[in-house]
Amino acid sequence: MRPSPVNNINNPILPTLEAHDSGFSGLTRRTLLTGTLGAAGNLALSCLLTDDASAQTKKPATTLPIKAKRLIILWQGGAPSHVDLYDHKPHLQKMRGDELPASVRSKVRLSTMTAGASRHPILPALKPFVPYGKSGIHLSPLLPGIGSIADKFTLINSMTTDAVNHAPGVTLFMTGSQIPGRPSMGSWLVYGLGKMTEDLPSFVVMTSTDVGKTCGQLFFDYYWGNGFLPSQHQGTRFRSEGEPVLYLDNPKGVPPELRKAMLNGVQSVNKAHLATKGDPEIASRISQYETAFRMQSSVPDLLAIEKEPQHVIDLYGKDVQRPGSFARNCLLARRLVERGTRVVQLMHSGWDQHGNLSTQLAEQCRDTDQPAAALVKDLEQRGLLDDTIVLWMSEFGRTVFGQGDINASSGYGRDHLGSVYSVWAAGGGFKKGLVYGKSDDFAYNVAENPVHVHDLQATLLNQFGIDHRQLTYRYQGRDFRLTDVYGTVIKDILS
Amino acid sequence: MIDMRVHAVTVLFTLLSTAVIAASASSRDATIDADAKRILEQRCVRCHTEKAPSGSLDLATLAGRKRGGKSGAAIVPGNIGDSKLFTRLQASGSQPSMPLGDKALSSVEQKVIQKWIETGASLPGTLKAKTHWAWLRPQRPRVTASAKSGSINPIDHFIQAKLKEAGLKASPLADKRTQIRRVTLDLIGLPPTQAEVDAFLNDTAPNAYEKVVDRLMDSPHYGERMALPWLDAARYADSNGFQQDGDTYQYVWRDWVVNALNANMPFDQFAIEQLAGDLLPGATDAQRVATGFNRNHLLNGEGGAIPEEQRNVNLFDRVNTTATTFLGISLACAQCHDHKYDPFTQKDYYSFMALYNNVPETGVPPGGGQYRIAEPTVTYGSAVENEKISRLEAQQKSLQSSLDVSLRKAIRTEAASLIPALETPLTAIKPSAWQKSSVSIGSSFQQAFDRRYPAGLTFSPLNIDVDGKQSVDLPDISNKDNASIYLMRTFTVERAIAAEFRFGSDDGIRVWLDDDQKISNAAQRAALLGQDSFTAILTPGEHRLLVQVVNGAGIGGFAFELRKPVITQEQKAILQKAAAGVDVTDAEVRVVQAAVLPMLQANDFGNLRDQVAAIGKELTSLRAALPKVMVMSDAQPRQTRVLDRGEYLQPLDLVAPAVPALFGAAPIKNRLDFAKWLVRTDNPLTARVQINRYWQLFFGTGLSKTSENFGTLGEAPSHPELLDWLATEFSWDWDVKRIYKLIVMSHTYRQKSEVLPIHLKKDPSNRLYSRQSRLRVPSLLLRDIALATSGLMNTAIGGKPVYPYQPAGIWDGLSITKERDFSYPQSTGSDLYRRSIYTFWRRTAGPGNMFDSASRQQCTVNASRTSTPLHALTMLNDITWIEASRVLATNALEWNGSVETSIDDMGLTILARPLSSKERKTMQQLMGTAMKYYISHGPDVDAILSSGYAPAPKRNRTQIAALTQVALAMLNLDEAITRE
Repeated sequence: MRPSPVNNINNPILPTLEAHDSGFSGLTRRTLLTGTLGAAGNLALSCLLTDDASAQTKKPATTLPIKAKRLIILWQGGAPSHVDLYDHKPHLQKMRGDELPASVRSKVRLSTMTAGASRHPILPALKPFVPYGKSGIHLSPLLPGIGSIADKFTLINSMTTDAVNHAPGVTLFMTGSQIPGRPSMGSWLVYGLGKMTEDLPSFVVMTSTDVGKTCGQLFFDYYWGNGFLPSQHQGTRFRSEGEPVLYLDNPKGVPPELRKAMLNGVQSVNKAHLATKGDPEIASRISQYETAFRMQSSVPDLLAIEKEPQHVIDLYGKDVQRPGSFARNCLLARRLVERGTRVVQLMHSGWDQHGNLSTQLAEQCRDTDQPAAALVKDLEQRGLLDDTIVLWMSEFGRTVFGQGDINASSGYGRDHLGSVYSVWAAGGGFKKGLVYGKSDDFAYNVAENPVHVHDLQATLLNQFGIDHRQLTYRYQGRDFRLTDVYGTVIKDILS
Repeated sequence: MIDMRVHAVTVLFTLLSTAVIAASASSRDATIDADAKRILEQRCVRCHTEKAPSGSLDLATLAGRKRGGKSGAAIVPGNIGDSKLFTRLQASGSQPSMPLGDKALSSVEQKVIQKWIETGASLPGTLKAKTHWAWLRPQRPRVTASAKSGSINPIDHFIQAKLKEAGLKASPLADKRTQIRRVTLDLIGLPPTQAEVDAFLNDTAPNAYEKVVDRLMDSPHYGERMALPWLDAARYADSNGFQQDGDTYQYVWRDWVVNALNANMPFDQFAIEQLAGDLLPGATDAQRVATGFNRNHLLNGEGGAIPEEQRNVNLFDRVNTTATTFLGISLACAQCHDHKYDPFTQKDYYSFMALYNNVPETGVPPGGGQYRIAEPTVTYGSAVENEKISRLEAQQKSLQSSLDVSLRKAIRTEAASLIPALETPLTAIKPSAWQKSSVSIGSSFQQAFDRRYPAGLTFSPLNIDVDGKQSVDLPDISNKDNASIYLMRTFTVERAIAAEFRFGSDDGIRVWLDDDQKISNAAQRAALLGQDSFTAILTPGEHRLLVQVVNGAGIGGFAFELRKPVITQEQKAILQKAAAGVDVTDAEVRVVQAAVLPMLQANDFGNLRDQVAAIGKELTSLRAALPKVMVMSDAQPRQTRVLDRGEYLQPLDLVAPAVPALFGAAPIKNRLDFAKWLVRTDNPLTARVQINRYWQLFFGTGLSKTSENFGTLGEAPSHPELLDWLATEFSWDWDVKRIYKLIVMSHTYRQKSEVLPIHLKKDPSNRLYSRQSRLRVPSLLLRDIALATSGLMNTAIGGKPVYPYQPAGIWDGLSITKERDFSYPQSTGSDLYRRSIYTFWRRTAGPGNMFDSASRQQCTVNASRTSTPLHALTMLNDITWIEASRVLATNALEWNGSVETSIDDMGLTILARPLSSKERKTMQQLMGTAMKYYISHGPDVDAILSSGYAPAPKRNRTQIAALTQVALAMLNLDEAITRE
């Protein structure tokens, strides 16, 4: 059976149905959970029965030492330019406008947007890099916040992917395949590791866009989909407008006390029905409605950021007051993991700078730099960083050559580049202040220690105590896994 | 009892070892043992037999396995190092690896053997070398005389035999109310009405139940219900997926499925038309529409998508979907390498793919607009649309004949002046340089396009050479969304001249000559000279040409050319004839009409001409709006090669179309041959795979749980004889309704669903069918139940998808794209209450309230049924359920007068049974609590009663608000959302 650590179940703050319901006393949630209903009485068991009805399951393997319990993905959608932000190539400054040698370009597949271009003028980083921290890692001056945590993360400068277009690239990292439909990483983790809370979803997704909404990357639900895993493992999207979770709020005209009375009525009839029908699934239904009711209080409580002290608000910056901002989502990510959510996937768009890198890069950095750094510091201050991984990640990088007229004042940019780019990971057993891997002189191909998407996935699972080759699910006759048939754990970046 | 056909072919009833099947239990050791047994039987026992064991090693018998062979012990339980069975799987020194002369065991299979030996290597009994059951043609088992005569349903015969072995009995028949609710939900996906329940209760005829079944199968809602699992398998959606996620017209295909099911199209025809309808002799448009099955896949229209890569992705999808849906095999594994477990090679995979590789397609859908449709397509209007078009065509024809009369006259009078104007060379025109206006930005493309010409616009030189070019970028509007610019130039003309003005634009264009609008085309496209043009006669003097170009997004561009109208010798001869005063014939008018009409000065036919043009325009737009269904075609034969590791850039050997070699050398050239092979009665899989999914529909789990995989890693069927009996019964005539009826008439289907302690002990997962399974109704049907019980449902069948209630932000809130408007166009009126099957399915974000449904991204034949708090929240708080509850409450009170009887009535409507006294008391208590609240909270009464668009009640408002809570509670009862 899957482990089901339910550590938050008796949170006294949250209202429950049973305390107010005389008709419900015969079958309390506690009796359900402690199993006085015999074989039917265990919530985890009933989940398993449900799983079992849809497909064969394999026992997940937390066979390795557990270094991390939570994952926060800071997804930088659209593909930030590693050339301008992370991959230090000072010598390029003197080569501005020179043609990128064909030998460098030869092997790399490009999108159809520049695949036929006749000129490939080198465009060095817009701003020369500066060293940060004790480790002296060189980063863009546009990233002072991330620079201030340079001693806390591993920067991978040799990330590589198979994709050259957005949706397939995001899908590859999130699900291990470029074609939509496989389970997402968060779903795999929740499926394999079980829940740490009953009051909140275990896998939460929040999205944000750059303020100018300059380039539209859509975030599709298969980026957090359950694929062929049972659908209870799919990510729950928290929204910034309207209800934070779809259908969370009581309908207009129904106050909480009336809703409680109504649910008590439902539970009482269901309880009698369970006695008549004897089907354990009905016990599962009763607990489903109980949890739904509690989630109606636990989610608003989660979102009440006004309870945060001023110094925390200041840490994340002014933008935290704007619902739907990346900053707000970073703070909520911390509040979520603190309450037992296992995977938080923040998806921010706006980095697809084909024609507006020169005009928009600074703005985009301003929106994301301080909150990302604040999240790492905040987690560290609370002792959560040790077993929480914060991953700053994107689908690919951008070309060293410019797209458009690189002298135009109206703007120019860079095209997609999948062959090499940069990401960083902090906490959860990743080394601190390390730069791993190298690109070639033009930040165009991997020169040393390539880290493929599947390798990073394998490494992340490894930190959760999971051998990526063993967390499988049999579907359509095949044992599927997140890393497909690939993936090597990169031991050198783990402490 | 229905007519049971006795087949000419009766075959020996081979009783398989049932103990073995029962052993596929949940305990892990049992799984390992079963896996080991399978491997030994398939890979080892053929040579290491009991009678003539290779190397004196007999792996078939228990004694032999203990004894070992001439090189020593084969199996030492707990010690793999000493177990030759394991060590010889690897080659070592001069010793080749086992199985000799066969491909090695896969790493997973080796691990199974290892684990099996480590955990004791227990495997009693004798093993038989065998071919996997699913690769063998189903043999029709013999049934007892009573089953044969129809006195017992053959299904019950098989089920009860097995129950007896397990020391169990079938449950008694469910009560009549449960039976009618069950079969109604299963066959039409709606709850029975109270009248239907009463009629059934009052019908004491022995065939009362059968009458209900027949009525349901004749209902037009039958096809809607039965289509749902097929739509999941065919990954049907109303948009392409990926970044642009353009809409499609595949709903025409969806309607084809519903109609085919309602008409009880035999399954063989159903399969052939969907796989190869286009290749049938004299294929009808409907048969071509059917082939949309293999065009329902995702399409990636992202800016940089590489067409050939995407085309291969689509080919893979077609292979995988067809293999899973029809053959129940996981051919996808053989895309990159030979299948690890099943006898499918990579060559098999690409030979299969060769069938789909002849479609005239690029791999990516074209850009622009709301719809993004990739050829090939069939234009397929509805009856209403077609009728409107033929009416306009007739009207156009009659107006045209009147126009002909006037034209003839005009040509006669004007030919003399036309001829010189046509001959005047272009040098007679002196154009000025192009001027441009400033750029203005609209709030949408259409708004920018439609905006009136602004007064006081000033112009400056364009300084870009656009004349005679195919396409020139306009930097002023490029990369600006919804940007509009005016371009202007004058022409000084010496003598009358006929000229053709030709344009290309990115995107929309409007053109005026001397303030007379000549062109208005809100196209979104890349510029190409000649996209729009008009012809005119310019009189001596100065003329002004004004052009507006509107860019939607990305590049904005323009091209222009002035040229002499093309006029043929034949047309010229006719004009000369007319100029000479000779009457021209109708036929001759037709010849010159298109060329000269725009140049004629006469105005007495202007009105007619405008009418004809207007109708022509309307017809064009009507035809353009007709659904274009993406379909299959073999019009572009291609060579197919094995792709190394499935990489489209790594082609290897050429392959010809073929079925997997396992199935023998069926000679097939194309999809039609393949489809016909598929439904041959000797095909081992097709009938079994369908029957298994039908069973799954009525019992929750297939006879083999792995309905998506009948390969060696799939689960062996719990009742193999029953599966084969039903399969042979089916492939006799492929009559789907007959099989469904056989199933729902069985005792096994009609029995009680109560779970007794003995069931939990001996049949916990109900794989022996000791009771009927209780199934949570799929969410699409839960919504239908809410609509139907409230009386809100609009029962119209088929047509364009609709947009019922959905919380704001599910579509447009994903992020922002300016390439099209993704705001949700919520329907109004009765379209809000159509059945869920008609809800627009955006592939990137499925309908918000249809939880737990297949994603419609990949083929799904085994959807999951889970239970999360979010599902409960949906049914408790979604406006769909709130509105349905209040309308149900309103109607109940209207009919019944008193609150008490209303509560009873709602219970009957939702549960198809009277409430128990305890349930009634619980609901009345809730009513009391709610009344107490609403009496003192008027605004909350108003809020409840104004949810949704259904009219709010005028009387008894407080009572209805309170009763709404009771209705909502009832709709959320476990029993209400369960098919008992």
